[in-house]
Amino acid sequence: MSLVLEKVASGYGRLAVLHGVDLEVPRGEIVSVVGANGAGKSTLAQTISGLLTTTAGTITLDGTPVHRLRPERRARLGLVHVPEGRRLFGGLTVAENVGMGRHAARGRRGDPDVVEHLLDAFPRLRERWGQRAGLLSGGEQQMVALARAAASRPRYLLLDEPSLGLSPRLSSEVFRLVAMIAEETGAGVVLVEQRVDAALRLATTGHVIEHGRIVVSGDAEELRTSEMIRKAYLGV
Amino acid sequence: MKKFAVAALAVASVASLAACGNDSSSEREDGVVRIGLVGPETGAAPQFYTDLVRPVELAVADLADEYGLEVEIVTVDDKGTPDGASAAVQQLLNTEDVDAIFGPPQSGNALQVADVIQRSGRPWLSAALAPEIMDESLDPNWLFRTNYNASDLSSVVAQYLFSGDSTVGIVHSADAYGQSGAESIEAEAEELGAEIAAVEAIQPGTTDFSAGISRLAAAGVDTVFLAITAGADTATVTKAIAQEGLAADRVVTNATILADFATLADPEQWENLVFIDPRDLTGDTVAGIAADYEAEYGEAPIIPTNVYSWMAAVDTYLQAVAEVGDARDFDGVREAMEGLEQVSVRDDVYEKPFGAGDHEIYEPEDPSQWIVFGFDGEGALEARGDLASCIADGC
Amino acid sequence: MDAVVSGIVLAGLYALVGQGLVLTFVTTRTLNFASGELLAVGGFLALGVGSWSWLPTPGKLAVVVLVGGALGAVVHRWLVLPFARGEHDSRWLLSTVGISYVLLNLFTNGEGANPQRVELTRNPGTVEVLGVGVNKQSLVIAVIAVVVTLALVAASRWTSGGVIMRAVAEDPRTVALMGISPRLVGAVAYAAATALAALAGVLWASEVGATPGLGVHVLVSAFAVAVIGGLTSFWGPLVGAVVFGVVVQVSAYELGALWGQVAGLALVIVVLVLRPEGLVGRRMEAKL
Repeated sequence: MSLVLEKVASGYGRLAVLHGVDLEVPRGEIVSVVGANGAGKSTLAQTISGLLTTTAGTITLDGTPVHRLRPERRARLGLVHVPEGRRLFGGLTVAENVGMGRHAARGRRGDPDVVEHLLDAFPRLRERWGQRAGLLSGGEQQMVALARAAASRPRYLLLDEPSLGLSPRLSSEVFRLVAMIAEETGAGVVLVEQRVDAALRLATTGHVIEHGRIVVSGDAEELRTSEMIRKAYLGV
Repeated sequence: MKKFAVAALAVASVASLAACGNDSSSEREDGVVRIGLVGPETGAAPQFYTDLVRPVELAVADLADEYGLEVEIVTVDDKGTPDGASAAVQQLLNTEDVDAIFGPPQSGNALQVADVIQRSGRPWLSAALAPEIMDESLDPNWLFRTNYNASDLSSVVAQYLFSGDSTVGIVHSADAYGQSGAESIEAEAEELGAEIAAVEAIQPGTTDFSAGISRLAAAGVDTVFLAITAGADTATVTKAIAQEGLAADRVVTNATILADFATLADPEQWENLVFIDPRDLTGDTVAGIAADYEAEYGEAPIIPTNVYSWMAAVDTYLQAVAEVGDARDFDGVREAMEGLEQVSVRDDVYEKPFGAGDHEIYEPEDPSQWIVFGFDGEGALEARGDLASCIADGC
Repeated sequence: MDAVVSGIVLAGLYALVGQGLVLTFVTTRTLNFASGELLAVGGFLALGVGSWSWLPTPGKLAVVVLVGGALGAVVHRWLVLPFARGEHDSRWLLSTVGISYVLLNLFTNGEGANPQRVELTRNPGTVEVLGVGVNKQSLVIAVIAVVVTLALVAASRWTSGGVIMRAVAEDPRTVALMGISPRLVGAVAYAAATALAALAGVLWASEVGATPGLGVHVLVSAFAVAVIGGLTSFWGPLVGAVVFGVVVQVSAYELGALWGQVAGLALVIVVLVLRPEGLVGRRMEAKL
């Protein structure tokens, strides 16, 4: 049971960004994809969820090929994408945003629902429940995005820069909740991040992406501590 | 999408091929009288085409045997546009080589082809209303009109509008037809030394005209003249008259309302509505034509006045051809038409309708020739009397 | 007073059609320029089902509205979707204008340009409202427009379909990530909009007769009221229609009938210059 990418290529119009990416994400495991700005991290997330067209290669979800499906079909299969910048519906209330997430879970009522646990862990959302999401702070918005994703009962969760624009304290709060969702739902998580250290701490496996190719893969802890890799690929 | 476009193209080209097929007959058989009909088979007002072709067919069926003629009818589509009319008339003259042309029924299109037909030297019969089509100074003049012309009607209508102690207001469509109708009444008013209290224009398709009517009411109008193109707009105006409670003794319009007004409005709206026409529209002849028309085509005539005029045209032309004995002798046929003792539409007879300098079948000078029509409580047409008596005694 | 009352009543028809424009604009950022002809379709359908004596009037109305809705979905699938492939693709404008001409010609050739009497939902005569005589049918249409507006506003606030619609209005791409097809939302919006146009067509054809050009004038005014009120709010067409109707009627009473329409369209330009999002619309980038 895993999400598998084989030789996946994609891009924007004629501009090719990904060149044959291989990736395997087992259920219940957190996989981090790290890389510099413009390396193709967001492109990868958008290609997996279907916002961008796969021009070559295959994507299979628990054995089912999904790379030709529209994004809404993939979401219904449990492939849940929290896009960069959160993309909440600002005019909708927190409740309505989370409610939107539930549509993707139609037909998968047996999958675990962890929205309540998430709200227990971050009670401020309950206080904001009836407010318009656009009026919330950045950290609160990211929590709403996570709650919305949880409402979709993810089998695989794609997180694109969830810590973007957040303070270190809030970032670690977000990462804590991501770990909680992964553990309680048993979903496989693809975490695309620029905060290399935190991302690799959370993950079991790590991949370094550069110029649209996965250049190094390995145990997340080893990558995190490898001086060579940090210097060569991540510029940190 | 692409497939659909290809299919549409294919249909279109098959259709045009079929049309070509009709065109290419051309050997002229001797002795057959070939009448060319041109009208808007397609376009915004196909009823003018329908009620050109059908009455000609009916009249030819009646009269060909009577005059001992073999008649062939050729129809072409002018698409309701001046360009289309030009092309259609060219086709009738050059490809079809017809002996006479009937139409186009719409004035603008008739005007467009007037020169070409005049130069072709073939008898031209028209029921279009625009006075400009007829140039009486031409010699020889090939045009014969079997309908009234609009300026004659205006002078007749003005006689009626300004009779008695009336305050006249005008409502006209904001289009060429409505404007020229309003202007000609204004010109007649000036000639009569009469005054028009208010003029309001209606945009075709307008949904509410209560404002215009309340302005007429404010001007004290008790007699309204309508120069309106579409029956639906006439209905909008009369509806507003009822709604605003304008106390109009007379609402005068013209026979074009027969085309569709009666099917739309409600009886209370036509109570005071009248129009003036030279044809006896409530007589036995018109009723008989309508019955035969309906038996043949399964519906009532759409424009009864045009049906009548085209039947008059057929009698005018075929009688003359029979007299001369050869439809190819265009000059002879034209002179014979000028000299006809009488033209008949079934039992209605017009004595000496035309002359060397007179190619109009109706004359405005004699008010007793014109009839005032209104509607009864059920909405059926009724004759109120001839204009002379209506002006003298009211009706 | 006369002018104000008759202006408000007159506005109902435009509001009803304008509501359809808002529906498609909000969900797909496109407008159906064939709405006028689809309104005429409603009129002719009413003519067609009018002879089914076995079906009661509400049933006939339902048939017209449903067929109208289906046509809307067809228009969306074949004439809008293929020609609205992104923010900079405005070919839908040409395709919907194109089909409007095709329909106009088909109807003119098939049915003729003469009005045909429609008996379905006919309410002849006038009634007094606040001492002013108004046309009964126009009043019925105005009441329906208000009911439809309230229903749409309520639905968009309190139903899940309404929430989806507001979400699509903000960000259709992200809606797809929620497992909802924005194309389906667009198709439903087009169906609803066209059903409204067909309903307006039946009601209006019952008043003035079914003609191919039935919707041409109505659509121009419906655009005007939608722009005045704002294309992004369901209150927009109703507010816009009342303002438009009153301006048109007051100018017609004061300056002459022809000036009414001119004043109404001039008002559109004033609104576009001073408040492009409309009187009650929300400011957003409209890429037309």
